[in-house]
Amino acid sequence: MVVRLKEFIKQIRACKTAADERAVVAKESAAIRTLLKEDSSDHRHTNVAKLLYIHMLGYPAHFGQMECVKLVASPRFADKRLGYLGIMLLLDENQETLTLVTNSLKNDMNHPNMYVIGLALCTLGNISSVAMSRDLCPEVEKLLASSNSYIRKKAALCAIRIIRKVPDLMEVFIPRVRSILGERNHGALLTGLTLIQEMCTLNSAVLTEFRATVPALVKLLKQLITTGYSPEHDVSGITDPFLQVKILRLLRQLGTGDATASEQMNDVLAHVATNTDGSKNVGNAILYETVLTILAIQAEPTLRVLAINILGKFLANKDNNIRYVALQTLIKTIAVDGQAVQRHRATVLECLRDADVSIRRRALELAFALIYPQNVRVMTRELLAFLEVADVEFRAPMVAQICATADRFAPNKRWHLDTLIRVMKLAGNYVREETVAQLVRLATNAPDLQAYGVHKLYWLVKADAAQEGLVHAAVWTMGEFGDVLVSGAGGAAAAAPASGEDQDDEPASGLLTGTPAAAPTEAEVIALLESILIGACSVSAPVAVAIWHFIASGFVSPLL
Amino acid sequence: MIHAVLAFNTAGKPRLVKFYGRVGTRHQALLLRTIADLVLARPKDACNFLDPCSAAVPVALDRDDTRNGQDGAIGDDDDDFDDDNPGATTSPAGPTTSASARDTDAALAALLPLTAATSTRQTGAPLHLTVVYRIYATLCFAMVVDAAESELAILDLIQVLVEAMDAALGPNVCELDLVFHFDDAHAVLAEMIQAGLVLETSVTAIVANYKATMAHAKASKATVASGLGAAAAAAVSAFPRAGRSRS
Repeated sequence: MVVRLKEFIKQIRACKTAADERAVVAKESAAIRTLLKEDSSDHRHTNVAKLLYIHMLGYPAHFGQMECVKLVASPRFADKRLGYLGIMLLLDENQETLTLVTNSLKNDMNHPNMYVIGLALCTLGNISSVAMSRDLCPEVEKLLASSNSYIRKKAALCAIRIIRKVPDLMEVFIPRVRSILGERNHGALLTGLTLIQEMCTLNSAVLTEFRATVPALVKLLKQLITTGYSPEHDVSGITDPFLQVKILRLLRQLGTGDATASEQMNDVLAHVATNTDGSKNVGNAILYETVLTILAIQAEPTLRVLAINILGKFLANKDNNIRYVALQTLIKTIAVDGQAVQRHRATVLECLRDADVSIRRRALELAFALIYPQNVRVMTRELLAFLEVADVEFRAPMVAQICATADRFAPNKRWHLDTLIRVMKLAGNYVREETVAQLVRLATNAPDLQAYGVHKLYWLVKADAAQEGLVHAAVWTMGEFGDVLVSGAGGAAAAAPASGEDQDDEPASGLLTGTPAAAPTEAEVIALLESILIGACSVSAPVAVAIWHFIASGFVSPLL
Repeated sequence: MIHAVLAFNTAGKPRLVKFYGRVGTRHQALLLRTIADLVLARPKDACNFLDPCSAAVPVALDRDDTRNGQDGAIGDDDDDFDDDNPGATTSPAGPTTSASARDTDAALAALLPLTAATSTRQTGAPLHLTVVYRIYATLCFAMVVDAAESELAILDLIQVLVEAMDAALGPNVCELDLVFHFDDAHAVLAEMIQAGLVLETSVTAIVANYKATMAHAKASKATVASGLGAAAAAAVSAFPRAGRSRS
């Protein structure tokens, strides 16, 4: 008594717990295995269907592979369909069982019924191996020239798989491909263009050859835009947006690095960019593709400005998807035209505080890419403000980036020191060893800053000794320049509010809360160190070592 | 290229699973669960793209085996699918707190490159993957795509898929239809996407092709009584020839 598929699914859905479900599946798996051994064709279809369902839920079902092969050999269309589906789901190109299917595929590709041919092409396109690709290439080539557009469509995608697996076979398909641009059927045209695209990606000689098709593509695109309402291809008022996007992408590939081709497409790109309705997602998808194309080819300056403006509009769009996509494009654009992107800096910084985490991530990446010597102070200030409220996942990479940026673009040493100290205060736990070493190196190389640095660090650690990196740096500097600290020389500079040009580096709250007039005494310094050693149980080895080094240096021997 | 098409309900149960590359069963299940966790935890107005933080330290995939999840003891020893990460074990999808949401995110960041690595081109360079998803009532459709696809276009493609399923599997298709007719759902998908590349984007064409294949399937089942050989001849001769042009 074979359980039908529907019953089986109902049984599984009736299970209340995962253990129940496992039990039901186990029982049925065992039953199916027994039935498969009997090798009767009566219930093969049902058994394989049940197996595929089990597979979808995540349980192993590989013992059904041979059954699928047998199903494929059956003359019934329903059997073939399920068999091929099973093969696509359960097998991959590395399995030896796949070669058993080759003969069935070959027969089916010569079948009089177009849907059977379709099944075979679909399977071949999904999982063919190198050997199978070689064997069945002639069949696919023949089908590419079929008068039936359904078959041509599938054959084109199949050809893509073949040339990926066996690049030498590309030459076989090139002659067939030339007639694609004359296609009427949009589906076949779409897949044909994908095939051309793939060929151009894999082989630059072919790319050069296909550049000659740019005028034809431009004409095709124009036709799509100017044609009236076509119910068969209309999506939200635009004729076949997928095809438009595909053509634009191919144009991008052909126009990159070639002035003639780029010039030929200037007009149509401007036309698309200005006439496409951006109120729906389809329109925006086309605009997005157009912008990417304009930025990639050698476009006229006016066209480029148009593209950046569209991106600017995207950034201000209420739809999160559009903003995400705009941020991503801007990152790519910086390499091409950094100046233009700088104009949108303010918006980017706003996006740092967006509610959506994906947008925050993109904005962060973009913000770092926008830093250059002229704006490093302002940007770093913003980024540090963001660091204060940032998610934990952002902190480590941000800290690393800020330190690297500070290193590259620091206008002066004091600013550099300040920035490093602030980073440590805000996110000291994520600071790496190298950064502490960097701070230390900086302090050593700038004698005039030593007093300033050590005072600042002392007061910060006194207020809050939780950040490990900060504590480590502070202890080291106190060890080295402790005498300066106690004597108070230069401390006034640190205690006094920042003046002059560094004013805008300090946030309004002020880092030094309750700045004292007098310098700390030795006793206070030691008390602080003691409290660090005793109080913070999680003090790490390097910090402890630094403290002992400090004490061993003899500075405090009289008091110990 | 599209690397995977997944559909799951708001409880995280898989309803449609199709990978266009060599991905082991365990990896498939793990990836689907990770994506489901992340998607279902996002606020409604968040953008439709999952962008795992690649800077985060990836969670070690070979955790301790807390096997109260999906991968039970049925024939696990027989599972000779050699997925690329032999140490990967499944872990139950519990309720996500903010800490574990971060873990899930990091897990996705670690899993996605593995998914790409199995289906890369000859050049062998792994492609950056993102997950584009759309939620329709209790069902969520997600597509794992690489940088060769435009994200906004994929959003539209998901809409086309849903509309095609709606028209093909009966008006007002619901989750139950996907459950009980998953092979038909696969057939609709096969008319739209083949080998990770888009085959057809017109809903009318997809549905028409699907209905034609269904008609064949039905007719072929009906002739089983009269013996396979004769039935095959009869079935084949009754249907449209491949040579007839259709545009």
